[in-house]
Amino acid sequence: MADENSSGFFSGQTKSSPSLHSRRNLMRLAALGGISLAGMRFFSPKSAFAASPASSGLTGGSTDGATQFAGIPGDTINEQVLNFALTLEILESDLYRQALNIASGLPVDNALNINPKVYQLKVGGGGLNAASTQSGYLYLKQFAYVESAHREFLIAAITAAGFAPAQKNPGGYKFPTKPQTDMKSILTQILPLEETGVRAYLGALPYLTDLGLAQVAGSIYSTEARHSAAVSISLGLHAGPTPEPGDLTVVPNPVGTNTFEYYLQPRTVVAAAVKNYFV
Amino acid sequence: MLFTFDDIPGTGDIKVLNYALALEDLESDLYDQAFMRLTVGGKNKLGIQIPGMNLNDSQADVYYMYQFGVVETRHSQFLRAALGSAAISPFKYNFNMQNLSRKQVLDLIYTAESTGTGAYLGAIPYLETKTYLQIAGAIQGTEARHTATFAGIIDQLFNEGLNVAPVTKQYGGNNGIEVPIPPNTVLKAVSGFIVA
Repeated sequence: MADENSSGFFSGQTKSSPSLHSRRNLMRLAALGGISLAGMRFFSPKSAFAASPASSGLTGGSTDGATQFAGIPGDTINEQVLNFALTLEILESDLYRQALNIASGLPVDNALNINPKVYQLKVGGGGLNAASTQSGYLYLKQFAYVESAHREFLIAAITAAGFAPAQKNPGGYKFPTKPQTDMKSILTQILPLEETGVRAYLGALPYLTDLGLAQVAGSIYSTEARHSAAVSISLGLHAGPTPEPGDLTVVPNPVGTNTFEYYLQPRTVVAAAVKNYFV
Repeated sequence: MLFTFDDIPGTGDIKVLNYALALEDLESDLYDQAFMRLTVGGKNKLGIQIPGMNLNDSQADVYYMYQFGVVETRHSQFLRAALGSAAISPFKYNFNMQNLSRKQVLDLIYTAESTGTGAYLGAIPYLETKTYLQIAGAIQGTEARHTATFAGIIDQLFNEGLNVAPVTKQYGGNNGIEVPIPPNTVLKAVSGFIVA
């Protein structure tokens, strides 16, 4: 796959395109996400939101978007945030595919099969008990399809807006340490992907100026948080959020380590993704 | 009595924060009562005696009930402090806890957390500033973790087959994306628990 971007990592071509900030495209986006338009007061004057009018857009927040999303394709900050998310979902879905293949005793390069029934657990727990090994494998399967669906959803949404979606890294992706053929090792490699995904979405959220997009991004972010908890518990870890080195806090004085989610700046996430996972 | 989003005081960010506070108050009290029910019992804020089941925190449900109860209380305290004099008054809640089985208690917690997770997303269109969007997000993610945790615990204890997260069409879902729940849908669902 050709890489048109001088950075060598993000090859989505920028072209003149209508802004995503339009009612028509947002409705498409919502429909793609299975999100009820009635639930999105922003679009629908006859929505289920019967109370005071929704606000028309988001104000305030950081103004360093150009720095944070440097190298990410997009004509507007909203488009860049979506392509930032897509960049991560491409990476995440590819590594899930690899992990599922490893856990299923299949060649690591196999594409994700459309039928989940072809996948059967072929590795041991590696120290996890039987219940955690089984639930961990179920999560691996379910989440592999979910991350793949997130990727396709974002590609469709960005394309529907007449914009070029970010492309896969031409060299592909790898785990920093190749997982051993056991569920503990595989899930241990998966967990940082999810935890970073949570921090990435929360870090990118205040750059969005559009309430509809914020709701969509939040809806994907929420699943990453659920995945993080489920994988953590399978590994015998606390459901979290558990602070990690480099974590930033939204609330200045967090009163408990698991009271609020942590976040990372978008550029920190991109640098870490490239360093740790890009071939 | 709280029935619709119209009844939540304030406008814009303040209204959303008060809505969040009302839900956090409910969750916090639910965890208090649920913890009593599964452990050594006690009296809820209505003065109703809740007999305990004498389970302890070697059980995952009891352990996380305590952990997440503390988190929800801190969310509530944080929001109440942030709102100051604009904060909604606290309510009292009757969950009929004294009559619930262990499974019914866990199902109720799962439902409350799942509703809270969708509720934050459903409130996003009412926000005005990015600061509160990110704060709401920082809370919402924990609700999502709580939901997944209790789905997993219920599956382990009762083999319910609950999904820990939204699934794709291969597993009978949509795009594996969380579904926002509009405020009035949420409030209709929880109003029955509010007694004062």
